[in-house]
Amino acid sequence: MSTIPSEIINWTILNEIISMDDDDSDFSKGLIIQFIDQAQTTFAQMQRQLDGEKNLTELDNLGHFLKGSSAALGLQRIAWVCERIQNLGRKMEHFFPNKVELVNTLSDRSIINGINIDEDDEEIKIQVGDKDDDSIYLISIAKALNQSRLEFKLARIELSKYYNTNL
Amino acid sequence: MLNSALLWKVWLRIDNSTDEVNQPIAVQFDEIDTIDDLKSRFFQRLSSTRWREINDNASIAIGLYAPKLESQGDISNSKSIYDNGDNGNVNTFDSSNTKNCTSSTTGAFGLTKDSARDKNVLQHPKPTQKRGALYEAFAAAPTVAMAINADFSHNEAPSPGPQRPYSTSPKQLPATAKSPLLRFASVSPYPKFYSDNHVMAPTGLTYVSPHNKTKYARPLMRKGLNYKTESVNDSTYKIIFEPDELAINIYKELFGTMGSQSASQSLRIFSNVNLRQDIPPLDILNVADYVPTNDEISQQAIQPIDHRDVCVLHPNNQISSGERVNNDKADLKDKGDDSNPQEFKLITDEEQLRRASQELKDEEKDTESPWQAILLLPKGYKGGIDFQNKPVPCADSSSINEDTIIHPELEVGPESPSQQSGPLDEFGVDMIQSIPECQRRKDDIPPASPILINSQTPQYSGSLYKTPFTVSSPPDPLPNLFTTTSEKVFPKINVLIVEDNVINQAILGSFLRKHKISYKLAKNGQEAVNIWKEGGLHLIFMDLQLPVLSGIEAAKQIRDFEKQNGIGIQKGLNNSHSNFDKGTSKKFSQAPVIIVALTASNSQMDKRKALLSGCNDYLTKPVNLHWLSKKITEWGCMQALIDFDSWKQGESRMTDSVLVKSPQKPIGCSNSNSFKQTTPITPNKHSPVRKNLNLSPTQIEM
Repeated sequence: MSTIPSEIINWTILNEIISMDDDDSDFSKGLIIQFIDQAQTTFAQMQRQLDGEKNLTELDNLGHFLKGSSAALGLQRIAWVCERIQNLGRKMEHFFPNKVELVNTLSDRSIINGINIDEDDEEIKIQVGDKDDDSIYLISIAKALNQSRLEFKLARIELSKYYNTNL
Repeated sequence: MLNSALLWKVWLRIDNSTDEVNQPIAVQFDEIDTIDDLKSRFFQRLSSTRWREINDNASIAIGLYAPKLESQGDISNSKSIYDNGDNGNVNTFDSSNTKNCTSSTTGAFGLTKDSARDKNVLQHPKPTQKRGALYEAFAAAPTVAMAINADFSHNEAPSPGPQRPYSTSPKQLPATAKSPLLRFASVSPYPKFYSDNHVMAPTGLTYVSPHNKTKYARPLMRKGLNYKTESVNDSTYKIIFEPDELAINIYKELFGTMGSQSASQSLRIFSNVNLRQDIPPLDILNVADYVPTNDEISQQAIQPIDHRDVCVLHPNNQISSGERVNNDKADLKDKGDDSNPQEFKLITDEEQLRRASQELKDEEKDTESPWQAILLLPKGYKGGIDFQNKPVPCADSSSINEDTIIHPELEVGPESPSQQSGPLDEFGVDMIQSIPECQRRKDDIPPASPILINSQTPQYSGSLYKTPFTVSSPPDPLPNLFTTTSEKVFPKINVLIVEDNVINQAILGSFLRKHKISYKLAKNGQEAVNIWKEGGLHLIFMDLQLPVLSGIEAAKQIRDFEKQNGIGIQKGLNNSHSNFDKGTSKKFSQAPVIIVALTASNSQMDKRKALLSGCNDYLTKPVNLHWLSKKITEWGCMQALIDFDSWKQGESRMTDSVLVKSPQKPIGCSNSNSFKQTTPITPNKHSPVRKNLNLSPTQIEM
């Protein structure tokens, strides 16, 4: 498992997108807004999978899907968590790090001041042994999903700062 | 015999180092390690340094400094042989006669010798006492850094010249035995000095401390040590060990017991490259695996040359990314070697071309780089290229040996299509100069286009340019030109983006729109296959993990369809050329579509799977837009070459595909139709382009 990037946004990547604003002034902002919708939808879908079908392949696909767009926008910490979900869904990885550990990797930890890092967490309901071998992956994915919600929140704060609007 | 309790390590230190790594560094080794292994270990220790980047095993040597001294071998013991006639540089310490040389020694610095004690020493059974003559270098010069002033009791190696160097040491005893060059099986000429503490320290303690002036040495060597000498100045020379010499032997020879060497006695690492010189670090990239991160791209001051801007047709009728890699590697080599990169050659006829290519061949003969490129461009080309004609009356092997790079002219402006009125007989050879990526504006990123050069920098026209780009090239006006006309240089191709994520679709689509490249979107593999079947596509960017039908599967299906329809397959090798001239042959069918996979950056497996499934290339996600534009140009140009006819007809043909009108017809038919429509251009014997277009579209296997 690679280590999570310490910066929320990879500006090298995002700037490439932003540079296309020349032609279409709100192009990058539009993409970001689109991404915010997409991420929330995807999180909800993942949560539904965890609560209901518990289909690891489906979770893998959802992780891959969100990884693609978050990485394309330079939202690298979200992309990293999504990749974990993807790999957990494929059973290529077997655990997910704790939230504190990951938060500590942030290069600028001041961003977490004033927010409740557990606010969006959904309770992890999966019982060990619930679904044979899959349970450890499902539990880890549930943890990762909570993490991705947090990362999403952080990215949103950063992006709102950049665009100077409440995204 | 060696103290196995200690870790075997040897102190090494970079000679003349000016920066971070100038202190002695201990490197572990074991029984089977050679000097070369030591070098590798040393590099490992310094893996992150700049010194490491500019050196490799071949560029450094391990050795030591030794002062030039006349031999002072004890006459009574050593029957030195002075081989006057041999100025060779390879010396061999020989120990065959060492047992005879045991009775007395001479102090190098006029120290009192003590024969009795010496005898004791020699009779001491411990093999750890064995010392070689080289040991004296360190015994005499504990701080070898100052070896110039240090005394050295080792027999001096021969100077390259006929004159024997004379000793500069005032302390030196009158030389009585001169044996600068030792031949194998000669009597050991080395002076032998023994010290008290040698006897007292049999267990691997430091035998020589800097303040201990006592010298001792033994010529006892069971094996010849091979080394070279190199004169540094009048009083000093370097001893350089051969790379295959066993480290353990050298250690024993120099220091004796394992652990005897102190840090101040470090062996020297001689490197060819001086850090003080400003040598740009030239990373040797494995281009096949190398995928730069966005950071690298934005940060690199110097980009490796990327030739993907241009189309490469190899006469040996294969185009693959592998060959392109070769090409790139050759370029890298060129970048390092070529001191005169701005040398252009004007090629106007076949004869000149042949000579030029022969010259290139000659120059390249010694290197392992057969991919030296000649760039051939149709100059002012407006007509159809007759790929089918095979005018090889004087095809010589030299031109076949090289990559021939051909770039049909692209339309420069919106007006130019109207100028495509008729075939043009005049051809020229043009030069392509790649632009380092960093010089381009980030958002414009037009890859180097030969056309641009052709049309806007006439001073380069008709040139044969050997080295596409070198670091030392003076800034030229090209980057500006690219910035201003960026949107016009992309080939007219139809692209299909297969991507399930709308955001990525939007990014790629917006990029293509910006560059006025027509594209279609598919959100899964099945859609991609369906759209492909409609025809007219040149390039597919294929995400791999897709719903419904994966990118891998879609690529496989497309390739299967192509095979079934004979697309890109050469039929009937025995067909005579006359068929082509008549334009009746169905020998060639439409070019296969180029599929570029979009893979996760960290998944080697995905990349392999993608290539195996029939993708031509891959881009890693998140897609770097610089690379994307390169790929578009590269593959677009390739398509233009492979299927020039359909490319030439531009968008009208693509959107108005024959296939769409008559979907029952296999795709191949549309192509044969188009071939029939082609009016073969009049053969022009003076056209080098024609000659080098000894390539047929489908000789290229995709």
